[in-house]
Amino acid sequence: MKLQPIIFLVFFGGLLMSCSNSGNKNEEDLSSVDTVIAPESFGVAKESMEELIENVSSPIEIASLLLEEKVPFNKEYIVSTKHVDDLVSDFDCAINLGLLGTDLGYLNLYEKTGSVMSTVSAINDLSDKLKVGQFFDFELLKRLANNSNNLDSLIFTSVSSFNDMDEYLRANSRTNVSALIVSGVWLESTYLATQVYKSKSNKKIAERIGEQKIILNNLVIIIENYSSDPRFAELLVDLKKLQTLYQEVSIVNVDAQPESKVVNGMLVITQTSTSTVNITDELISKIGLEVTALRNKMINVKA
Amino acid sequence: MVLLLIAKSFAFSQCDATLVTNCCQNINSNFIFLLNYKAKLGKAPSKAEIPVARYSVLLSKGNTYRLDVCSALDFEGEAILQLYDGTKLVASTYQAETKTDFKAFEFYCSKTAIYKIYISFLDGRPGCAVGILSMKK
Repeated sequence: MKLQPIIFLVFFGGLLMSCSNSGNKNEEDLSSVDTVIAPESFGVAKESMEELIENVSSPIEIASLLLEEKVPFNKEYIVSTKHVDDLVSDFDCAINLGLLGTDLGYLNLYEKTGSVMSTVSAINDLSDKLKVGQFFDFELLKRLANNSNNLDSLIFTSVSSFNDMDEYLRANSRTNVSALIVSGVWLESTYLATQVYKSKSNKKIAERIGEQKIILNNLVIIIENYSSDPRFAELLVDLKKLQTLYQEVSIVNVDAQPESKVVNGMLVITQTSTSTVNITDELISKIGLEVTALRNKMINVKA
Repeated sequence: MVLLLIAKSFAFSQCDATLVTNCCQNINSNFIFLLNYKAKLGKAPSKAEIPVARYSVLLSKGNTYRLDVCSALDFEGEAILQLYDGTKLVASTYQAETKTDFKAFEFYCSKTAIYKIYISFLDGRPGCAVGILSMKK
């Protein structure tokens, strides 16, 4: 029984001591009629699709890893928001919403709240175009972004907004839009990791790039499910090119019993299983080129 | 007394969006909020058929995660959150042997994989709850 579908892990950074309300713009908008027609899907049950989308997550973990590895912030990595006005189709809006969502998380995690507004504004525009703007309280996000003391609330509000939007999309038979958003999220986070790796070789980052194989395999299934739509079919071809590259990545798991103890009243479980990712620098370079090409294709859309 | 206090902080009155907000208050400043999982389940038809809300999530090695579960007070069910690696139970907020209800646990992940999160209610009572996934900074 699946009661609440995924939530995107789009936004990273900061603590969450105070979880403020996400402050939806207009509750009445929740009943707005969908205008997006989902393309015919192939055979994957709705519940299975939701589970697959749930697994396409964790860009926050890549950004968090970059921070942990003391990788400096680089504004060249994030998507320029200038093209957003030119985006028309739901396909393009959804993918770009995912790309920008990852960027917003990257900005938040590095506490670049002063640079957040153009990204927040673009997200607001795209969500309006997708008729899910009711889940983003632009004024609240603006206020939070303008005060560095509100980082916790900014992150929580951002995450909650995306979560609520996703729940709504899937409850209203718009899982195809969710699929595109998570594709954008994944694409941008993999782009970030590969760009960083180009300038700083790092074992942990290399492994994390390799681990994207797990998510990519799910993404291919998800997008394939909607490939009766020519745009989905085109995206599928690009993802399969990446999947071919990723076939050279091997992940070796060794299972073992976890250990548990109670520390200051908190149950702490330490896993002792291991996973080893084998990926070469050359392969990372090839993946980086392919991811960059796909990302650019998604950004440079002709209206 | 301590247990009572802990239990109180993980129980909130409303089965609505405020449950997520309130449950997040249990996360300390060392953790980043990642996801929430809602579960509203009816009474179990029998002890052998306890309803479960199931989710899946990719967890990455090298990270310490925290999973909290909070129950709505307007339902009688006390929520249990369990983490599975495939079919293997890795962690549970409720320890049946000692009847200890921790309401949360920290999980140091050493294997990147897709894990399952199950939320159910003790003895199959009807309940409403939210699970919160956060990650140590």
